[in-house]
Amino acid sequence: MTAVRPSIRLEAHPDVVLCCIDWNMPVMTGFEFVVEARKRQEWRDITLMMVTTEGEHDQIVRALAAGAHEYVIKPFTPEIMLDKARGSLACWTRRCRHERRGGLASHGGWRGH
Amino acid sequence: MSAVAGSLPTVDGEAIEAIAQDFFATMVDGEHGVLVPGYGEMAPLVDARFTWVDVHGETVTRVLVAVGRSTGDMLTRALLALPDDAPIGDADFADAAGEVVNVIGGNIKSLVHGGGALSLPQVADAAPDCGGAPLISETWFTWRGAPLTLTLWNLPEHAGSAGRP
Repeated sequence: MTAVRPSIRLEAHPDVVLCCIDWNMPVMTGFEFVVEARKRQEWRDITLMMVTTEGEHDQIVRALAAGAHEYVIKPFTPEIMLDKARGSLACWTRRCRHERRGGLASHGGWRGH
Repeated sequence: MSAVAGSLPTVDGEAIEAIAQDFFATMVDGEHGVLVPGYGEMAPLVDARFTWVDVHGETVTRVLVAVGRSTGDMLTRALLALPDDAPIGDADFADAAGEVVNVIGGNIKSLVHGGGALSLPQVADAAPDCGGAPLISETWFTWRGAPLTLTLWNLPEHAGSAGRP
């Protein structure tokens, strides 16, 4: 439940490749976090994974439309989270390789699922 | 599990039990059967702590979890994967207790007719003022032999903590 604006959190950790974002956070909602993070070109490679509950399922659609790549429903097991993270990171790796070869040069968003 | 009938919103008591048990089995214990519904008279909560969220929909439903502090400390260690002897400060306790009710409340939201925004979790060492709101349902469990209660209250319209869009 600890959350700050992404501009504060992400600038302090430039090596972050995956953000797990709860919907219900102080300071800003997970949706607002996704929107703000997606405005920044330098963060476009970061995989954004929404972590939310079944009752907030409709909000997943909004978050994905805003630029989140993946989601996981709480409660989840460690195995589910690891599978999701591995899948997201594999997509991230493929995308980075593709971009190095000149593809997706100015793609503003992508879907890892 | 008891439910209050009449003109109040009705919720599926078995579904509420299942949500709580699924959360504990998945994120706390790693197995089913540790959090079990209680029967008969509940043992009193010792040094009780309270954590709640408000589900804003056609009405406001408060989801309130109460647990003894030492049990809450055990729950915090389990949820945060801390050693059995790890000291638990108030911040860790609030983080874990808030997450418990956030997940349970977020899933109960799907059972509440017109369930909309969910408030941020609150944690306190006294029961929140529900303004005389009627009780919708009351369940108590035992977890590792200690009591834990889960109650739903039908708050007046526009009451409760603000929901998040």
